[in-house]
Amino acid sequence: MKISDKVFGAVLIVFSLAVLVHSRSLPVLPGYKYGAGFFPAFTAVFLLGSGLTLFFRNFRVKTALVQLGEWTRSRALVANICVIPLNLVFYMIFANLLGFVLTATVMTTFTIWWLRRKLLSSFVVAASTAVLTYVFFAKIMLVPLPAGILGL
Amino acid sequence: MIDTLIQAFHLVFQPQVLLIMLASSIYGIVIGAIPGLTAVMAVSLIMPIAIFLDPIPALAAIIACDAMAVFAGDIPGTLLRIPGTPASGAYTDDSYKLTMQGKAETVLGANCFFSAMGGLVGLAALVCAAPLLANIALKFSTYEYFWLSCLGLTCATFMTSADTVKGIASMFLGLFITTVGYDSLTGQPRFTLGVTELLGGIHVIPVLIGLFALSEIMRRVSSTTPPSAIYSGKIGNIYKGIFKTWRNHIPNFLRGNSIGVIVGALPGAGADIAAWLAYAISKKFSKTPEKYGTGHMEGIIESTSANNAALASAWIPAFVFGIPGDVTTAMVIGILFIKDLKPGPTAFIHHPEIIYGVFLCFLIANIFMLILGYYSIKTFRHILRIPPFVLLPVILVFCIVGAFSINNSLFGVGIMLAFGILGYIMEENDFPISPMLLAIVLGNLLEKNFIISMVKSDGNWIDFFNRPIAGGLAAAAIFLWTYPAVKWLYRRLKTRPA
Repeated sequence: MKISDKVFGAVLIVFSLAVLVHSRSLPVLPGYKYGAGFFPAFTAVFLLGSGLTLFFRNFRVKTALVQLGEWTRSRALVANICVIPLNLVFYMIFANLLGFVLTATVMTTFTIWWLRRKLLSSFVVAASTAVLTYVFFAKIMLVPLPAGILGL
Repeated sequence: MIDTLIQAFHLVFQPQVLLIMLASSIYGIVIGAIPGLTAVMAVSLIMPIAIFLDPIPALAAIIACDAMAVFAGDIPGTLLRIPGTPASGAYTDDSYKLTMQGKAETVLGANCFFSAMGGLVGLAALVCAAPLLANIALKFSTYEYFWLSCLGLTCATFMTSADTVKGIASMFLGLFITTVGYDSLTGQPRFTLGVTELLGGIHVIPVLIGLFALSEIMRRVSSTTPPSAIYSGKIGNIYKGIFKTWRNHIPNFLRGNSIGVIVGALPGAGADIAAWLAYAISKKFSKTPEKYGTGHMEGIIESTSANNAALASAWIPAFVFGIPGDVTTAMVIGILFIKDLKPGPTAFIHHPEIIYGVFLCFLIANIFMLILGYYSIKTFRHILRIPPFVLLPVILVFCIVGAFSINNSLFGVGIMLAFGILGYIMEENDFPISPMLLAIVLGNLLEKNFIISMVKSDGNWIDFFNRPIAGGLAAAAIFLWTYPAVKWLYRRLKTRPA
């Protein structure tokens, strides 16, 4: 998916101006002109310069603001790409309730099944991945992965 | 020194460390050999484990995984014409065409042998240069570190960007990201939007997993490229006639390694740039430049040596100045800080055993490469049999655990998701993501040295140039900043009618 430089330029201009305005409200070191806002303002000035360049460098050339990629013509590929972030959203919502093992098994089973349409093998791979990852990280490396209703 | 070396031997030659290196090597080979999965992705996914290991096993895992993944990228390039990693892309056409001429064994043997040799030459450069530079770096003040950080970011931006403006935007976005959270000098919270989790800043690990691994997964599941046919011929002894090949290509070997060492040691450059540059220079100085791209060994030897030589020499700026030589060493610096081992010249005084341990790990990794490389080439077809649509969701689970384990919080997963989407959009629109990552690693160092220097000099900019090394570094940085404008102006004046 190609987004026009004009769009990126406009976003950078608005963003850098917001940073500049906020930076001015940050306090300085006592007795000096520099403080917490100096470096963010410094970066914002260069972001503003980059934004202006991107916005104006091909200003007269007429291009579509957003050009959809080849994959957007296939519903399956569009769904494939959406499944990945949705998986992470699902994990963030349900991990504390269901626990790592159950949440990871459900989301991985669904993703592999979605991509390959083989339910049993998807479940086997997903469950073994979730259990092995849990054992390695939670039991050996002592990472407190969410326990959830299983109380693992 | 002997005592330190013995200590380093004790630290490295432990069954646990050697097993971790072996496992990381195999993992690096698998990821590197799968087209589309990069060495950086392999290393970024090993980070969650490295965080919980002692310093030497953690660094050994990263070194072994990185070296193997970069080498393994040559295998699909040679047999499928799809480079496994960008570093192998420079000579894929030559490798594949030689394979089609029935010389697969020779090419794969050269890939493995010269990668390992390149790694050893890079190691020699690291061993010789790092302690010498560390002695000089002990005299550095905030002014030198400020200019060195500027130089590193400049090289990273200019060398990795086809579009400099987009590279600059990516780099300054990275610098802005480091300003989120408490300001280390005033203790003032900045840009946290009232989110408590942002008070401690944005951690580099979820960011890099998002930028490099998650965005890659998204790209792969939406790829429209059909799978290629695998070379079906038999592969015998890959090392047959390798010494003869070496003898016939000594100038190429030396030049490739020299380029690799120099480019690797430049802050912000890395193996990918080293390989492409080595290939271009090889072609320029070759007596038979017309043969390049048609199946010619010269370019392969120079580039494959260069990319592995660059891996070790990239550790020179990382160890000596705390400035990453490439994306991998940027991650290494993150790990060193987590382990309370501040990189920089004082590391040579306070933790010399760790430095010597790293040297030994490089040596072992390159020996492993010669052995494991042989077997991985034999089993390559099995690696390719792993369906990507099974592998990618499994990698996603590792990404989640990696992002979570930094602060044991789901907020890390959210950060990874945000940067994954950002990385995907950026790469789709030709914004390079390496400058952003290097800026995130260097941002705090740059800001701290900048503000302290401004306070010390009472706002007098001349003090930034007064010290000899600071002045030299400033001149180099300013030259790089102004060079494109001067070149453009010169061309304009030259073409202007009198």
